[in-house]
Amino acid sequence: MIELQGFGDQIAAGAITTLRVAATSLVLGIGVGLCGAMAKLSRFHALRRLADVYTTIIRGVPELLIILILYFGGTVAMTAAFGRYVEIDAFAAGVFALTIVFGAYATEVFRAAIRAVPAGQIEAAHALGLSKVHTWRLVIFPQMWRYALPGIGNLWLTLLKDTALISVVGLEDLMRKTGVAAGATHDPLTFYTVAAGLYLFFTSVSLAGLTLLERRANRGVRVAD
Amino acid sequence: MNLPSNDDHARDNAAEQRTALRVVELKKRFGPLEVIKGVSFTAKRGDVISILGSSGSGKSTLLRCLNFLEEPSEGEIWVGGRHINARSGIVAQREINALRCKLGMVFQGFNLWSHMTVLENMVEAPIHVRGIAKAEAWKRAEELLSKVGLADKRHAYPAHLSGGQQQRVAIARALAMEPEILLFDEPTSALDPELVGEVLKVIRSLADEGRTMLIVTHELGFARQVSNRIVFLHQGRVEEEGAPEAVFRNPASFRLKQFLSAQATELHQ
Repeated sequence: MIELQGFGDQIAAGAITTLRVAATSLVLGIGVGLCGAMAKLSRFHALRRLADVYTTIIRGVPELLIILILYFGGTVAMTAAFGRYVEIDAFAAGVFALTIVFGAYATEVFRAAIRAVPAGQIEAAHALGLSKVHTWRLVIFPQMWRYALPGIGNLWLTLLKDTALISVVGLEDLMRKTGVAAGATHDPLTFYTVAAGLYLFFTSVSLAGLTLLERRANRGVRVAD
Repeated sequence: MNLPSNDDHARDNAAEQRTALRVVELKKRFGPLEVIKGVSFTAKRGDVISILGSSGSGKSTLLRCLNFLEEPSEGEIWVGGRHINARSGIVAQREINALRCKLGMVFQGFNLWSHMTVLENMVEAPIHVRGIAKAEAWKRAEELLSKVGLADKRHAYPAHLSGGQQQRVAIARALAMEPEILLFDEPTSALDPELVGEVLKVIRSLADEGRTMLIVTHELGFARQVSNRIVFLHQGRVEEEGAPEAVFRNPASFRLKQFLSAQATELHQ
C-alpha cells in the first residue's frame, strides 16, 4: 500500500472538488455551447458575429491566461461594483473560467453536429406541420448528439485535466492538495504519481461511459454497409 | 350592405367543397431569378394531377411553395376553404403549420428520421401536431403500415429498409396526418429501377381511393395512366394543361412536343 503519511483525506477532498468543478463546468458549458452554436447558425448577423468573436478569442488564448484574467478581472470588477475589496470565491471563479473555455470549443462541436443532421429530415418535420420547438426536440437534438458526442467526449477529458489549472487561483482541488502534500512530505514522486493515477481513473471511467452513450446515440444507424 | 342570398351561399359552398386546392398567380423569386412566374391552377377533390417539365422548369419549387418549404414571393393559395395570401409578405407560422397539416408531402429522398423506428416515424406528427392520443396514433400507424405492405417492418429503423420500402413508409407517414391533398416530389427518382414499381403501386392505389394528389414525376407512362390531368411547366409557367390522352397524343405547344420526344428518345436508348 502506498504510504500517504496522513494526507489521504486531503487528497480525497481535493479529488471531490476537482470532480465538482469539472461536472458543474460541463453542464454549464454544454448550455453555453448550445447557445453559441444556435447563435452561429442564427439568421441574425449580429448574433453570428458575437459568437464568432467569442470563440475566436477564447480558443486563441491559453487557458491559464483566461483563468488568470477572469479571476483578477473579476476581482477588480466586483471591488469596483461594491466599493470595497471583494475576493472572488475560487470555486465560482474556476467554474466560470472553465465554462467559458469549454463553451467556446463546444460551440464549434455543436455547430458542426447540428449542420450534420440531414436537411431533408428537418424539412420532413416542417412539412408535417411540426413546430420549430418540436422539430428541435424530436429530430435535431436526438440526432445531433450522435455527431457531437465524440467531440464533446474529448472536450470533457480536456476539461477534467484543465481543472488542475484552477489551483493557481487557490482552489483546493486535487492538484493543489497534492502539491501541498508533496511539499510537506518531501516525497513529490509518490504524491504526483497518486494524483496522476486518480486523473487517469476519472478519465478511464469517463471513456467507458462515453462508449455507452455513443452506442445509445447510434441506434438506427446501419452498423455495416 | 349587400348580403348574398341563400342560393349564392349554397352554390359557393358546393363549389368550395369540390375544390381541394386553388393556386392563383403564384410567383417565386430567388434574388433576381424568377423561378415561378405566375402559376395558376385548380385541383378538384379526387383529382390526380401530374406536373411535368424538364429540370429547371420550376416543378419541384412549385410544389414546395404550396406548403411553404419555400416561401412564395407572391400569389394566393386556397386549401379546403383556408385562404393564404403570400402577397402580404410574412405569413404567420401558425397559419403555415395549419396549411401543412392539410398537405401531406412525400420527398424524393424519403427523409425518414433515421433515429426512429418505422412506427415512431409515423406517430410523432399525429401526436404532437394533431393532438391525437398516443394509443390511437400507434393503432392508426399500424393500419397504414399494413396498407403499404410493411406491417412486418414496424420496428425496423429506416437504414435497414430498401429505398422502395422507405418511400412506402414515407407515404404512410404522410397519410397518418390525414391530409386533404398529397404532394409527391419525384417520389421514384432516387430509387433503383427494380424498386420503382412497388412505390408506384402504392400511389396508384391511393389514386383509386379517390385521394387528391399532385405528383411531380419523370415517369411519363405512370403519369398518363394514373392522373386525370397533366400540367406541363416550362420556365416557370404553365405551358400546357389538359387530360393525359390529349396532352400526350396531341401536344399543342412546341415545348411539350420537344419534351415528350426527348423523353421518348431517352427511353429507347
